[in-house]
Amino acid sequence: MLQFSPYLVLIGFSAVISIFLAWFFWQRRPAPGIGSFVTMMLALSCWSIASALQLAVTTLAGKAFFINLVLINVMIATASWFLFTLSYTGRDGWVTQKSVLGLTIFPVLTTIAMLTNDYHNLFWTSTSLTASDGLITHIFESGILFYVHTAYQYALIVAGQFILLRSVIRSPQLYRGQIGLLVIGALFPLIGNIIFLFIGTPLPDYFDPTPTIFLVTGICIGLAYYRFRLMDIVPVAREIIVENMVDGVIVVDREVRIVDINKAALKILGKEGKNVLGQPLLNVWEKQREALMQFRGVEQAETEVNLIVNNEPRTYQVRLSPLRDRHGNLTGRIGTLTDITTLKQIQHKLEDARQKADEATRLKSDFLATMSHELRTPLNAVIGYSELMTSGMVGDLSEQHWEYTDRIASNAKSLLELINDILDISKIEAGRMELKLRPMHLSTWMNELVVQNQVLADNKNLTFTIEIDHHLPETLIGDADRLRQIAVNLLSNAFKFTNEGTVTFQILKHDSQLWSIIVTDTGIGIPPHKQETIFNEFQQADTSSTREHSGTGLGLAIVRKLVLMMGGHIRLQSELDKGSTFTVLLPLITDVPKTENLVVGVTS
Amino acid sequence: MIDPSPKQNRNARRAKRLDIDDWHVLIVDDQRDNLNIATEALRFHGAHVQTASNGIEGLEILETYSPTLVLLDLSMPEMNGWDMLKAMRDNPDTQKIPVIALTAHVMAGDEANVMAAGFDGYIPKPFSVATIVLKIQSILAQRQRGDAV
Repeated sequence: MLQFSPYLVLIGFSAVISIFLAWFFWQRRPAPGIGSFVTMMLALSCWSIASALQLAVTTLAGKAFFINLVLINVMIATASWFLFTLSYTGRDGWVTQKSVLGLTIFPVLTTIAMLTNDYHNLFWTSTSLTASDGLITHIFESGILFYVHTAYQYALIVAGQFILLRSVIRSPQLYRGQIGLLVIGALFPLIGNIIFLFIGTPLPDYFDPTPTIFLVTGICIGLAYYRFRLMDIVPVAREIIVENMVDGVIVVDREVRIVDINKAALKILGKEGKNVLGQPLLNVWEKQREALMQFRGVEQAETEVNLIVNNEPRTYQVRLSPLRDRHGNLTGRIGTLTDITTLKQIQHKLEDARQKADEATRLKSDFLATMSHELRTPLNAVIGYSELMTSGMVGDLSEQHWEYTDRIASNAKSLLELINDILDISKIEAGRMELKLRPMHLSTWMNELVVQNQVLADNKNLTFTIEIDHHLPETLIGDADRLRQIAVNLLSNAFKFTNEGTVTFQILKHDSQLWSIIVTDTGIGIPPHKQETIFNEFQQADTSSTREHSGTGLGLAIVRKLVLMMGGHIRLQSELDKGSTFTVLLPLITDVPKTENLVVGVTS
Repeated sequence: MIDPSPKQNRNARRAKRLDIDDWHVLIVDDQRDNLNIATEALRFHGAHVQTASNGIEGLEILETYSPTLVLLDLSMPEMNGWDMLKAMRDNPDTQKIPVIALTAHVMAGDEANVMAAGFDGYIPKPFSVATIVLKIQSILAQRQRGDAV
């Protein structure tokens, strides 16, 4: 026969929520203390169910049976709570089979005392039934063993709270919120129980609200879990990351005994298992005594250490940091060892490659300087002797002698031009060509060029027209020598490839940003398919062996490279038998730099 | 580029004699060709020329010979042009003689190095036979202006 009370609904509700929370956290495995926590919630739920059944049954034997069941679940719940606080605060080491067994001894004894109460009446001094609010309820007078039992339960709850509180104080700010929530949760059943047992409540005596209040604990932990992800952060940081880090981590105390060590560090030490814990690092790592001595008494360091690991030389970056308690006293040191052997090897290789490249560049420059000197010396002789003869300084020559000597001289000069061009190209490519940017007076610069090139026009009876745009400033910034080289190359090409008509030389303002040097001729023109390649080295539009036009084929390549160096570009418009127009567009710089001689080095 | 050489060119390019009869020039160069060419180019205009093929020979000649100027090559065996210049500047008898570097060192920075070393001028090789005397004259004129300041 069973009886009903509205309180049964409340107790049943608690049981359901407890089971739900147990299931909920079971899904979140593994996390620290989750086993204990789930056990606690299940015990809480059994406690509620047993408590409900105790109220529902009407016989004394039935009530006694379920009261015993309630007490057993209370013991399981408090023990689980205590274990949970240990695991959660990182004292996993304490949760061993032995300690769990130790925690069960007392409850087992209590349970035996409870079940054998009929023989000694030390747990309950008397048991009887009574009627209250129309219900059959029990009156069990507590004996001495019941108080011992209760004291033990409170001791466990308080111990767990103490452990959590200590963590709250010592933990970084980040974790305080969640542990604080746990403490609030933990205080609830304690307070509830004290009120219930010692002060009394408006609730009837037969209703035990403890499991319901204990549920608050579960909800608090659930909240803490959701809001702070407590089941994730701590283990991930402590266990998984540190343990599986590629870097070796060794924690030592003040006496340089190993307090913690991860797998990677054990590997470096050449040890297995964690039986090195508690031993002096110097003894464990006898082989590296010398390397270790440099860190003696050093709190903070970052240095490279060469070690032999598995008979292989390795380089490690060692970072040493002090560990302090909250008063700032040194409690130990943490050292990390990062294997930088490969990094070092790559560094060395890069350094070698750089040195070789530097060496190659230096050799190339030296070669250029030597070449330049060695080629000019005999050319000086050839040109010098020919000029002595053609200028009549060493006596008169016959007509033919004079002409041939003159041909020797002009061929030698062509060769000299070629050498100069090759040197220029090499210098640009080696990044050794420097632009000397200075103010240059445009019309003076142009007039010099016109005077120099007028003779080419006269020789072939060509018209040479010039134009300077008066919108251009009188003076602008540029490398006058290199700009002259560009113009001379373009002009000499124009004269070379024009047999009748006009060569036009213009300096114009293109827009606010650019100015242009334009050389137009009425010469043979360049076929469309050659218009790209003529800017390459050793390319002339006519590459046949019988070509009638001499030249190095380097002129336009140099022009293009110089123009690019100056931040400009070159355009070509040409039509066969009509003529060509070369347009060089250059940045218009007019502000005079502060330094008189601004040198810009450009690597092509 | 091989230019056609019209006949009238020949007369235009015939050297006109400059009057430098009072010049006494010491030319120091290990290259026989360079010595010959420079000597001829100067003698044509009336200069008196002595030659030496390295710095030591050059200094020996200077013991008995006091030239108007020295044309000095840089790279030479026995004693190079840099050392000969230094020896001349260290000797009170020769320290005031103008010295012009005549060199095939024409890479970037060479001229600056030459001038920094204390030479009075810099003529790169290959030099022009037709204009070398004019060049020397302009260097000497510049040097005199410098002295006057």
